Amino acid sequence: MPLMSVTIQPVLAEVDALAPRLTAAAQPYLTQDRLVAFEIAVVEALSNVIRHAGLRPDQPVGVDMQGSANGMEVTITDDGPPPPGDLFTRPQPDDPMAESGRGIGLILMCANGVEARRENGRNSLTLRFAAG
Amino acid sequence: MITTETHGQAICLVDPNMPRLTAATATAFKDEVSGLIDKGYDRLVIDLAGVGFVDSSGLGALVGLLKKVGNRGEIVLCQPADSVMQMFRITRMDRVFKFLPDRAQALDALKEG
Repeated sequence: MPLMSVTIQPVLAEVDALAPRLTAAAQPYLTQDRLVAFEIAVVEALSNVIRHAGLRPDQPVGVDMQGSANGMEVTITDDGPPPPGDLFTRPQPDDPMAESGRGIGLILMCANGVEARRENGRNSLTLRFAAG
Repeated sequence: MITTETHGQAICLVDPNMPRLTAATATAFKDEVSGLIDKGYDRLVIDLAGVGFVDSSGLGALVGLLKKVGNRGEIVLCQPADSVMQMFRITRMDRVFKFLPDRAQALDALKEG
């Protein structure tokens, strides 16, 4: 069932404004612990796109959210250049005192499924969260 | 903008004054607290009571501050929300930072340390 479909400008403050709305919409589908994981993964994914996709101010980021008895699915789309093909498969840094570089690892830890695609010149990243 | 309450010449209580410590806010937060450390306040209590969400950038800012105070200082975090604590646990940073339940206990710990 489609729950939300929005676009945001590629600025980080927009992520802070949108994330609580997405989490509230996900609430009926996920337990409290999974809700926190949901918000972490979605925020990291959106922030990563905005920081690294090289988007111009006139290139918005799309966010589509669907819910079902099986859980939640969030798809983030953008018109930036393709990200590195191994973005979600390369070994993640493991330095506890690192000041950056945790985002992709957090997405992989917090989402039950991550699928990155390039379709019709657009980047599409789908995060899946199991119910329960 | 953070608010601060000094206790002696080296101890400072910091209230981030932001509901979310994230990529959008972490740099400003880190710069402000870093300025306090430069002024000699290297024993810090950071009260997270008003912070409802921390992302990897917020975590990175806190790690940067911890590295900046180094062995000569200390950072104690207090009153983290459950959701914020979950972020620290997921990243295993709950083993790196010291947490105490409230401001008074955190300040006492720094005064005794």
